[in-house]
Amino acid sequence: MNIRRYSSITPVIWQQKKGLVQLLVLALLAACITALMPWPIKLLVDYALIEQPITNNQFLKSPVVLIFFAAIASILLFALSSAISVASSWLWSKIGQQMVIDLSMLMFNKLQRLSKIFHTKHPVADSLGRLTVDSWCVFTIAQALLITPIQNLLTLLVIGLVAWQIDPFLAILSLLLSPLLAASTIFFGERLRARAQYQREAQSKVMSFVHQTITAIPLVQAFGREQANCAKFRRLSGEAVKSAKVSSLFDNGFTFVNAVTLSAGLTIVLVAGGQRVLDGTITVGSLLVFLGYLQTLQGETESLLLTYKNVKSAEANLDRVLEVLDADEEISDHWGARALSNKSLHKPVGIRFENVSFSYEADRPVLRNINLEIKAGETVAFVGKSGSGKSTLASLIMRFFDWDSGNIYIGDENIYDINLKSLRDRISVVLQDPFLLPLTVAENIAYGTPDATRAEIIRAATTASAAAFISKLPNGYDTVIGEKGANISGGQRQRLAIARAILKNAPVLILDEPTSALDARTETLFFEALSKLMHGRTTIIVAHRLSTIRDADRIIVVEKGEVAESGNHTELMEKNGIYAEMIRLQSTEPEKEAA
Amino acid sequence: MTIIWKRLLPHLGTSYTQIGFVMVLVFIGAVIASLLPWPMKLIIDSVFHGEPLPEQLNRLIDTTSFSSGFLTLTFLAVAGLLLHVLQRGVQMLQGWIETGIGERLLYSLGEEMLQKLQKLSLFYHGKHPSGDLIRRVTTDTQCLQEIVLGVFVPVLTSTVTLLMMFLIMWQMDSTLTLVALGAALPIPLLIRALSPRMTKHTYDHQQSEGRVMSLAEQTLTGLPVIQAFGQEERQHNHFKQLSERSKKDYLKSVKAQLEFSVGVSSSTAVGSAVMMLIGGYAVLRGTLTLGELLVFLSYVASLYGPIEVLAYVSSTYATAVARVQRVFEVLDEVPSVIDSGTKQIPQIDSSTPAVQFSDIGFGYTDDQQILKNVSLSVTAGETIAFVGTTGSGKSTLVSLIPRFYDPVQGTVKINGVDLKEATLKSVRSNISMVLQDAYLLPLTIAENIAYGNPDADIDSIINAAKASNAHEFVSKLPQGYDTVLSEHGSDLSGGQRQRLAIARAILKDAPILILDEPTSALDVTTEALFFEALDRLKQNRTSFIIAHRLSTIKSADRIAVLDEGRIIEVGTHEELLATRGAYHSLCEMQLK
Repeated sequence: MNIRRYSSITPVIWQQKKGLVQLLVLALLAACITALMPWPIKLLVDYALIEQPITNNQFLKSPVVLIFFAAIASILLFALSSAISVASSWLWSKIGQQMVIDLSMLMFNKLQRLSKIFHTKHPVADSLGRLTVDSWCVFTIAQALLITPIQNLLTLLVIGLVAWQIDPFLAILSLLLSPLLAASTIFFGERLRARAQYQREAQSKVMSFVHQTITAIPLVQAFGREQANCAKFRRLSGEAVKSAKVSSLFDNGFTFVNAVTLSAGLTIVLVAGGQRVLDGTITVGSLLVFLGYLQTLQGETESLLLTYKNVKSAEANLDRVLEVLDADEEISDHWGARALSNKSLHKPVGIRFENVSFSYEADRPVLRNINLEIKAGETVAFVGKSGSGKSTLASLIMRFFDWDSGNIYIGDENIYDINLKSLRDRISVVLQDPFLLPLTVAENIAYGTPDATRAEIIRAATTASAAAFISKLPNGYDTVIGEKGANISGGQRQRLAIARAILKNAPVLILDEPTSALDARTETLFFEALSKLMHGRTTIIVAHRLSTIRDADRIIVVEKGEVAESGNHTELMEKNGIYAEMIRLQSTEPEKEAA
Repeated sequence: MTIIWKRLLPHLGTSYTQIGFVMVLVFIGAVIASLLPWPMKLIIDSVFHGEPLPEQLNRLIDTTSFSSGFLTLTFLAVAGLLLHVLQRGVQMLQGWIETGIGERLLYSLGEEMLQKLQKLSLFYHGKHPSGDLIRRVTTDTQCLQEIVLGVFVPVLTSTVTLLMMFLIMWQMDSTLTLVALGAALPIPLLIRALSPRMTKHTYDHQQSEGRVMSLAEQTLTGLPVIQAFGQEERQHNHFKQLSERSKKDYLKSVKAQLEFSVGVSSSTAVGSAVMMLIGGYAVLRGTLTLGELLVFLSYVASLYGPIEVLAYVSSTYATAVARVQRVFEVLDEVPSVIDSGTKQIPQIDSSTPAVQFSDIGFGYTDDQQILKNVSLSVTAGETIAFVGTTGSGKSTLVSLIPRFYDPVQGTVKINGVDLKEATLKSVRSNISMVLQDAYLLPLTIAENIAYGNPDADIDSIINAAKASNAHEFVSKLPQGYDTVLSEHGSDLSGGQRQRLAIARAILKDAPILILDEPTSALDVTTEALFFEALDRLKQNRTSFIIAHRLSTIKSADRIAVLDEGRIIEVGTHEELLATRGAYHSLCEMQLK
């Protein structure tokens, strides 16, 4: 067990230290009560029913009074013990849940800050699982490493002390069981973990098969794979059943061996103790107290073993949590990064790339020595093949990624010297996927500016040519957008994304292939809306449909991570290079268009 | 509800004998459980207090010539041990068999669900988010397992154990049995009073957890926008608020459970105290032995377990019923595309059109007509392109060919056979598709290409990849065709994904080819490679292409322009330009 693995979650546990101390106090009380629990029976058996004198007090000699006492005492002990167990369950639920929430908050924040690189590698469903299911590991681990062992130890200690008082020989005899239990735990522990792992893997194979099948239904139906899929499901689930059964066999075997060991111990103590009762060394009542203790110990040991089993599987969850928490946060504010002053928030601003190189993986450069100056208020288009690096180049301005070398300046400021928030405040984006959230239309438009008034929202929607279709929606601006905007067409969604960007009113506008999913007529509407937005801003358009960027002030052709050509449409056509070739490929009738 | 149970019964199928076996084990377990306190009773009464052993036992001990107290003690202690071992053994066996039954039930229902979902049309899948359907297949199918192992077996076990204990107690002392009953009686009342609250709070907690989950999902899917608009803080606060809410609901459900367990344990505590009093008298009067009193007390202490099980069963049952409903919502869905035809699609015959749409009408709802009176005849080997604005119905129209949907009105024929009269299998085996989404699965590249022909050998896979211009990049990958793709093939570029999709369609080698906006995510150069591959694929096939880009459309033999669900123009590129109609203005717009 690697201690360092736990260090990331210790602060989360440590925050609940007050509650943990209270729990320990309760555990001590519970141990004392547990030690007292079998005594009313002893009172009943030894003094009331066998009529041994307990004191010389006449009143207490009466068996009837003693029976009454025993009954009252047992009720009181029950009440106390159940009060303590309720209190500690309650406390434990409370602080445990708080730990889980704190950990998932940590993960949530981390996930929000992690860049696209991480999220491309980890599908959303996987991250969600880590966030909601695996975060419970902190609960199990805190319980297994802090609470249960201390609780068990305390109980063992208190009971051991009392048992020693009654009969040292029997007490030692009972303790001899522990090495046997330890041996069985060592034998089974690793095997249990391995089996549980196999079982989980078999199960998750079934799950991800269902996932891939249901998300690709059109493909499944078009290629007639229904029967083959069912057969595969049957095969995978057959394996899952098999491994579950093997795992259950190990599980049950572990429980069985432990239970038999404990029962055998109990029997030995019973025989030895019984002999001592026959000898007259101890009373029947004391023997019953002993057996009661042994049963408690049995329960405690079983819970300890169960915890051990749980902690083994919680460790697997912890690993998945740590993969998120310990992921390199590529993008964060640099030391001493400051905010830009708000005075210049709406003034057009230039952008300059200076020798910028970038790669996702060490030996595969995506951008090489980019030098580029974009003037304030200029509209620049990035074009190039897919994989040429044009989208990456645009995302660097927002610091969606950090580059390997070189500098990028916004205005006169090095982007690295500005804090992220203040940088991104200056940039509006419209992406290929508009990403509308299941909020109302108005809330979606005001997503970057939650304080916007309704009038401002409507003005933005009007500018984005979205007002007309919004007013036709059932609840107008208060219509909640269905999951993934299902009830609004692609063009309409993009226009909402533009309205959102308009409302943000930032000096830099980045458009990353915003129209690739639109048809020609919708695209025209879109660009009409866009031209209003571009006015007075520094605009960067990443596009692969060349017809859309003809009017840009400058077109930058990116090829294999380098700036290959730069100039306006006419200049580049005259140059007859890559751009002219692309235009020819896309439409073989430039003459017609000229006519 | 009973009808639903009847429908679930077939899934028990092969598990019947095993469930029967589990029931036998339950009875054995209950007998052992009620025998457990007896060795102790005999030790106290016969060994320590010199009462005679029961007749039957005496004979046993006489024959094995146990006479001294110590030997009797040992004998009884070992008997106790054996009972314990036996009990654990039975439990172990039962647990093992139950795991098998449970998992089999789970997957048997899951398989039926998957089968059904694969049959349901895209109309259904368009309406139901895939996340929800996945949950129904993977989680809600637990209902059967929950009912058998979480309700039926525990109820049986608890009832049998309780009955057995009361029967034995009644034999020993009727007054004390009544006391024990008195202790047990408040518990069902507590259950009735508290369990609706427990169920409600548990449900609330699940709901609020669901809300946390969906917020997280939205955040992660919309992350680029959240980061670009700097809204991390806001999402954080929202997440925090929902988590706190969920915590509160969780604590409420814990509280309800604790109240219940306090109620149950105090009634058993009062019960055993009263029993100590009355039983103590009885022992003093000599009508009851000390050992018997101890047996009583231990029975009362073990009442709690079975009764608690009965208490929680109602909430398990409620969850299971909710899940059964979600399962049956899927299983009972009437498929809008029914595979009831029997004909096979015949070979191409040059005298009949390869695909014929006659007077097609289609709408998702009555007031929203997507296609209106569409008729079109396509001859074998022809390439036809559909153009029109988003929502004009062109995607829907081509989806009718593989019967992803059935038209509300009119017929679609392939080679002269009405699709509804042919088997679904023969219809779809005549069609290859390349869709806007390449739908790559997390399998190897070879398996992805051979998705429609799992038996294809590697040579034909490589040939298909070569024909689709995919071979070059595939062979550059470290593991070549054995490279396992990530989800949605997200480690490949858009062009690479689409070329694999074409390879898949090439390998299927069907006479009809449908391309639904396959290039919208591609750039110019990649697109050229794609079309070069496509030209090979189109040879000798009847092809349908939906595209936005003029260069793609122009190469078609005929172009059909759709507007608001109607075909308004059909003809070659030149013909349509000459008419200066809708097509002409679309071209103008793009070449502006």
